[in-house]
Amino acid sequence: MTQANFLFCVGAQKAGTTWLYSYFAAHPQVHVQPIKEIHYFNVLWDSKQIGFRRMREKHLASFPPLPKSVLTLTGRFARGARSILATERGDGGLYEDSRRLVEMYASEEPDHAAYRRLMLDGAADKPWVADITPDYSVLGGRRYRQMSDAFPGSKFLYLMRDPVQRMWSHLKMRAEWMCAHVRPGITAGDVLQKVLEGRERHILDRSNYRGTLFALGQLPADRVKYMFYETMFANDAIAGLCRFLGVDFHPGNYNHRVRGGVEVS
Amino acid sequence: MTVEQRNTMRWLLAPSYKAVSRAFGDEVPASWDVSAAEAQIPDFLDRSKIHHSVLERLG
Repeated sequence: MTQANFLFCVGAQKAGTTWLYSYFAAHPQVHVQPIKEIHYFNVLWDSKQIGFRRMREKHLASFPPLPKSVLTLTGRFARGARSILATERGDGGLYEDSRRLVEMYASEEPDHAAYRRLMLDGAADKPWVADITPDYSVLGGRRYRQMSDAFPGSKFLYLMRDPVQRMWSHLKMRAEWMCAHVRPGITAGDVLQKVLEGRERHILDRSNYRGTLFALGQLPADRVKYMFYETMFANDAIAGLCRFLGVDFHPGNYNHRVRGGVEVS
Repeated sequence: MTVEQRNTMRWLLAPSYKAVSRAFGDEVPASWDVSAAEAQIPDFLDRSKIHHSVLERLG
């Protein structure tokens, strides 16, 4: 198994993390899993976030049962066989990706062994594996130190975006979700009103740069990099990121900002 | 985004603006609305209708 170092990108949500995931996915020295957000540490340490595990289990259950001959298949062809036979469902990923996440969440192995195994799967000799889960932004300094201690050589990355622009983008995304799952017609303004009423607290939590900066400040300074959404889509910014990781610079596709852009009237 | 919504968020997020300005100074992109670090609660908001946890959080 490879001895790759871990990069933890801890957000912020709606601040360029999906673009960064695509960038790393194309980088020859950084490995990412087929699903961007692993949600390992927040599910492990925050009981309120068990929903991510439940969502993944529910997604897995939505697939038709596979033949026993496929489920019991082992060896190097097992994953490929199951992926080929499975049907992609929405944005939840392939059967095999969900199965591996559910297996990881259920594992009680010490030293984060199941997480480590999943993250390193397929990394070959790449020197870095990246876990880009914006919900890690609320874990706090004690948890960051635990992550740092458990993964020697690991580094942390935090992307920030103008707070109002970030929050508005977050409110719009939440409103879209609520229109699809709660009732149609909900606007970003409605969600903002809920925030003022003390509901949808996760939105304010993920807007709390002050808290995340304080938490990351408890790590050695040379293990943490900060970037700004407004300036990260450029060669000099990405070259700085590559230097931080000690990998070769490869320019990004700066014209393709995934889910980026916010209209301000 | 209406002016009222923007001003509400500037006030809610003032601590974040302040923290980033303190930590990064001139590195903060010019497009950031850094003056929001000093934003006060907008007059049009009824304080009594804002949840105490939100007010406490903002100090």
